[in-house]
Amino acid sequence: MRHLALTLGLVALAGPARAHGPAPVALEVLAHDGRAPLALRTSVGLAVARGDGTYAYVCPARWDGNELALAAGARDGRDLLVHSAGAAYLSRDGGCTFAPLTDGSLYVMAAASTGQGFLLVAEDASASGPRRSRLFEVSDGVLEELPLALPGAVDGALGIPGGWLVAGHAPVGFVAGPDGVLATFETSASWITPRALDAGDLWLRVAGADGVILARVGAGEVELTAPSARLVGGPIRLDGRWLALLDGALHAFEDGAWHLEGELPWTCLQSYEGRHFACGLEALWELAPGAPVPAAVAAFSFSQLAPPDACGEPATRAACGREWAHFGGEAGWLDAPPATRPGEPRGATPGSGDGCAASSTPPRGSLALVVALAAFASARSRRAMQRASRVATRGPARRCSS
Amino acid sequence: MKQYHLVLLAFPSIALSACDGGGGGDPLRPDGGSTPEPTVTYHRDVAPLVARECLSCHVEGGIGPFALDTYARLVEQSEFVLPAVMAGYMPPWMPDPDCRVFEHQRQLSAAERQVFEQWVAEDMPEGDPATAPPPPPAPPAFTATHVARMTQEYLPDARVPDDYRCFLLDHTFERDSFLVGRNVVPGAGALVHHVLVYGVPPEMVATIEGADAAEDGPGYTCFGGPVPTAMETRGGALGLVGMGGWVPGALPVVEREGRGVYIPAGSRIVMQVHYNLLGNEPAADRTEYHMRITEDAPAQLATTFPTVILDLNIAAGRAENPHRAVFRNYRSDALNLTGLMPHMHLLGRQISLHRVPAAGAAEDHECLIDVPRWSFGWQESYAVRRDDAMTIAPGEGLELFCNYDNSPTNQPVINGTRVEPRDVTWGEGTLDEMCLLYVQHETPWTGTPPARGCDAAADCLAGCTSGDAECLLSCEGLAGGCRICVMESTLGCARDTCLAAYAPAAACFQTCLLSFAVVGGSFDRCMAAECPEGTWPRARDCVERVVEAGTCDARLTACGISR
Ligand code: HEC
Repeated sequence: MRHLALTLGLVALAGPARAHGPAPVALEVLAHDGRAPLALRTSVGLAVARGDGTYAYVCPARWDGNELALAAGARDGRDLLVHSAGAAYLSRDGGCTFAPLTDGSLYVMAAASTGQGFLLVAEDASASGPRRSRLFEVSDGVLEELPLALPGAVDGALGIPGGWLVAGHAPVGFVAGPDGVLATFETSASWITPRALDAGDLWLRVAGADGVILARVGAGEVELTAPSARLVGGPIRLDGRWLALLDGALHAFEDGAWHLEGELPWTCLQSYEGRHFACGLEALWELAPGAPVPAAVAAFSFSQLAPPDACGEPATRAACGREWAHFGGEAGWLDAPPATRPGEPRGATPGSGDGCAASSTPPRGSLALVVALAAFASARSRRAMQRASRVATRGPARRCSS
Repeated sequence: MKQYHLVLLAFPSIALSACDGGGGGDPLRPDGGSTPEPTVTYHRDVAPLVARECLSCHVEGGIGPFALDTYARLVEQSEFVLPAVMAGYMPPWMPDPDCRVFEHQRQLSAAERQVFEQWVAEDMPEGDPATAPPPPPAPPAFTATHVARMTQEYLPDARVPDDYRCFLLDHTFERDSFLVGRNVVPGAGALVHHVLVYGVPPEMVATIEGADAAEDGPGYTCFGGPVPTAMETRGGALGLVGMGGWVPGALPVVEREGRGVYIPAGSRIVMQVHYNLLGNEPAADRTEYHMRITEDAPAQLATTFPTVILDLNIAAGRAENPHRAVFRNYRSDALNLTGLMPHMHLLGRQISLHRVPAAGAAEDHECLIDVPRWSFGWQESYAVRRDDAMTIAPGEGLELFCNYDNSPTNQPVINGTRVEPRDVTWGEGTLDEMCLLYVQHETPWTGTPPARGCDAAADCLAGCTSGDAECLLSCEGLAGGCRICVMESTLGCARDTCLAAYAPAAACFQTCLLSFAVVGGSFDRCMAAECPEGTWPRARDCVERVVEAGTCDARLTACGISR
């Protein structure tokens, strides 16, 4: 029943689109202010709250153009760290501009938010031979190396309340934190990342030849928990139970193994500072205890995503606009202004975020406001305004420029 | 002065956060009302380029995210169009034109890109429709003689944004036939993202039928290729006949006059369709494959073989995973290449094919195709231009190159879930990889259908009496299936006895087994050229002794080779 409801919700959220790429999907909450997510990572770039219920699109052109980059966000959502192709970039203005944080001598493998700052895991770019990781703390935009001897190379990092965890597989499996190595173990895995820590359980995601398996690190031993899957989300601890997505299906951990709870249209499970989230196409859901499956309320939807703010160099802005058209054109975001509440369709909220009124005949007052706002925008938009009046015959003359 | 400056600065930027909607004159225009006569106009200069390079996709209901088919629509999207055009991002065309220019290449020349730039700089004058150049002549309509269809409509799976499905089409080739033209006609318009079509030779039909039967509903789930991993030996895809790929905007393909693709009697067709359901209501699809078929033998036969690297070792976390293999031509005739079709999955970063000179020759490698930024969504087969000779003389080779980025920040999002690195090898699944490049080449028609199996095989086989291993292994012109049979019933049969003699030749065995299986030619000649001095004669002597002793007779007979 819930499945049905959620599916219907998804259909209602999906806009008209013509596609040539995978559907945009929310991947992770990077920062949250207790009411709503402040910053998110999505499959098309980042989204940063603008304070009016809409989210600014933070385009990949602001780092190296890679929308698959990984990111970590500091608590207030202003500091955002992105890493891609071995380089790290830091924004201190909520994603408007990014500056390189590393030079070519380091190859960044992982990063995690530690609350106010970041942990950065890197390897020497020129090193040959076995991988060797170095750990850095980033605070106030400054990189400082942590003197910590690790038993192996780090595959992944996880921010946890008041600290961080790292894990890796070569030459031995291990987990370590700021106070040193927590566990080492023999493994044939090809990639090991820390996933969750709660109620005394530490979970690792272990990728091997036969797929991915979740492993629980207890007192001195590592327990692989069946079944293995191709794609794994979570685990998260909700309402006293561990939940995970194994190949898209929700499972709960009981008696040492994962048991199927239900098929849900969810694509990730994540905990952020005591809150729990599930990703789905077009939306991110906040989860609340519920049985047999948790209750879900939309916390962010792509209908809230607004065009990128005019940030940075002209060339970056041009590339950013193309990216907005690239992903947004496919997903049907170009034609209507963003919604101010998750789950609401585009164009439903009058006077929403980007200064665009939604109806095609806005009240005079708001048009005046729009024009006044436009006076502060770039000269390019004036050209666009002038043009729009010239081609007014093409139907609704008003369009939210994007 | 200051205002002029502003315009210059702001020109390449984009109106990102304002609305257009009326507004009067433009106080920022540098030269007030005395606009000079525009040098480029929409109707005269821009529209013909848009029609030629954009409208196959950017029309209402097309695959492009918006229509660009009128002045107003182009103006409306101009802030996106210019950067996309100037960056060479649109029109989409994956192979690097500096390596090779193919038939029907979608491309704007530098001068044509400048037309767009100039037009935007001059504030996009519309001009006079009367000045529009006459439209280019419409391409001749494609007329099919046969249409292969999915046996039923298929409703794509709405729970996943990307549904990859294979269908065994309803057409069976009753007689030996020659395909001279083909056209994919997608059923459910914008849902159909790309299509790959393969001929299934009779000996593989049961495998595909099995896969089809094993799953409910029309067709079966498949990603990398139509041969399910569980059923295949790793190279299952190698037995298929590439019959083309389709992406939005692709045109019907008509073989050059006098050339046809040979399809043996009993063959069927399997079609892989990628449905993309992003924001689209799922709708029933029945994509069709239109063919022009003739039973009259053409002057030239078009044949495909796959160059392939099966030993993929793509390490978790590693950004560079280059793989290279050379396939030399150990046939006695030259290969005349007529088409190329690269294939990788989602971690693929670059795929290319080069011509390598004969051993000892001082020529450079020549680029045949290079896709520098591989994109799974834009797979096509590329036809060699008529005026381009792509010839691989005996002794020369084809070097296949595939590179993969398996670093943490290049992991795909599959059905909404972001993947994390893991070691990746060859396979048909979304999380597996492939390095495969179908090569189409033409050979003169000899009057008899190309041999299939060993019974109707090349003349030399009939002359190889008494299971003469040397004769068998130097026999050219064997059909693909027969080559594998010959290798198994001689080299494979003698392996246990000859292990010690094989060992010093292990590396050249690898090279020649693959290149013999794929390109054909003479296995013996390949080994003689590739192996360390003296090692092949020793291994061959051993094989000959085993074969002559009659040990392999049963296997040889099973291949259709009798003593
Ligand atoms: C073969 C089909 C095809 C052709 C031809 C084509 N486009 Fe596109 N175009 C697309 C698709 C599909 C997209 C959506 C993004 C993607 O998947 O690359 C797109 C996106 C765009 C975008 C949005 C920005 C972006 O980068 O995605 C612009 C602008 C654009 N096209 C302009 C053009 C222009 C101008 C031409 C002609 C010069 C053209 N296109 C030719 C298929 C095509």
